[in-house]
Amino acid sequence: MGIPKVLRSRIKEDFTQEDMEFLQGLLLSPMFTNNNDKADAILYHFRDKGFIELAPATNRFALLKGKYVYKFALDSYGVNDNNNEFEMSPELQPYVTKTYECNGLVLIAEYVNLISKEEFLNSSEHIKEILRTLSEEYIFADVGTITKNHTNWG
Amino acid sequence: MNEYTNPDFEPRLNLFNDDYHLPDDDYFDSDYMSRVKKIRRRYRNYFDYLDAVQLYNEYMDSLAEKYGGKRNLKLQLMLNKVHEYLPNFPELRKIRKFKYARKNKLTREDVAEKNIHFENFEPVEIDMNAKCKVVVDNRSDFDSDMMVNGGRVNDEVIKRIAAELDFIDSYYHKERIKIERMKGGSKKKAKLRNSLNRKALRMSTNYHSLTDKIREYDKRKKDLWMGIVPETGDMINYKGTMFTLAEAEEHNALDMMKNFGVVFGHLSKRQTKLIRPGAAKKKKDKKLKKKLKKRNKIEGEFLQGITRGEYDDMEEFAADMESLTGSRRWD
Repeated sequence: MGIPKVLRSRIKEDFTQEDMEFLQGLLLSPMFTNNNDKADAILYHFRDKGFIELAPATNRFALLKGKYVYKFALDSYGVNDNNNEFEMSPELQPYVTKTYECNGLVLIAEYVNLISKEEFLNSSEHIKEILRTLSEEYIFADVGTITKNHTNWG
Repeated sequence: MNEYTNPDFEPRLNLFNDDYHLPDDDYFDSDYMSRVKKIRRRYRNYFDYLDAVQLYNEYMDSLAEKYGGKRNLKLQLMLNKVHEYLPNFPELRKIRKFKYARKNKLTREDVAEKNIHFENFEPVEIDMNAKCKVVVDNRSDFDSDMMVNGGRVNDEVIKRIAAELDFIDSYYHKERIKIERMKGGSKKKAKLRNSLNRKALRMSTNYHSLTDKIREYDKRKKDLWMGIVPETGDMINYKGTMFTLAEAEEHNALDMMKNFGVVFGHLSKRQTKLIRPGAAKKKKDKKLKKKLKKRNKIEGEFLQGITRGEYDDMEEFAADMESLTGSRRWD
């Protein structure tokens, strides 16, 4: 598949200037005391745009559209997470999901099915092998082979 | 495409040489789409139909992949968010030979190998007199008998299987006669004759439907197991201990489950209720009794308060009140 002459931007297609201002306002707004309320506000604001709720995390909120995941930053840490993920994604291929687009507030990534607990336990050796390869150059957290980390693998 | 005045909102892109940056129209090439758009609702040719089904499945699978799985595609379809072309589901003209071909999943290769010509094709009739293969279900009662005998089938087991097959054989013997009778005359007449035969058969005293036969057989099987058919409350001997029938059935069900490898620890009330049919009724009776007791108590307190202990029974008090007239009030 060749690279098209004009690259398509899904962020530009799906979000208007007002939407972006809304997301930026949400980050700085003193109206919201916690990130769960911010996640609810995002869900309500984009209710007619065909998004499906995936999961709220500590600093980001993930929604699904088509076969791509949209990750919205809920605070300044979320913006940093989005930027880091975007920058690291091409380097860490094929061990991490592909991250296509990012502007800090929103990040668009490939959707991968979550691994089941049994599958996670069975493939612990394979996981350790991947971690061994990555540990030569990088430091990372929350991706070990203990059972509570199975939600970070797919 | 939206444009942003604030440069901070401008997105940055990563390229992975896949279809992410392609417009939706370029997802399928034009030749392929023109073939998809030619899928018709109904087909007269069996092979054209097979090709159409294959193309349809291929297209819908790729569409599902585009939308992140079949589940998501269904959801998007329900929300009217799918803007791609949706072809008709191909159907085959409902002719006997096509029905047969579709049922047997005949492919182009099968037809070439077996040299089948659809122009003068006749489906193979199923021979009713052919011998059928008897398969004994592993989960049947006979399994436990076989286990007792170290896996060897004894005469008694064979006799029981033969008894089981007897009634099926007798039932299908009658059915065979009916089918043979149907063969003569037109289809309409044969149908009418068949329905008349059935009515006559039902009216006759010797007639037993297959359902009756199965019920009869089940009852006989129960007799074999228990020896006699006891009442629900009767005490029976089960494995050397005396139980009520309901309890024995419960123990038997658990033992059977053990044979299949399912072992229960402590049974919850709900599980017991499922196994023992009488348990739910008992609870209901208990509730009703409690309700009546509460009502009697309230009535009693009310009576004491109103009549200052003159009446013990509410009905007696009510009867007196009804017969109370104006003249008696000042007695």
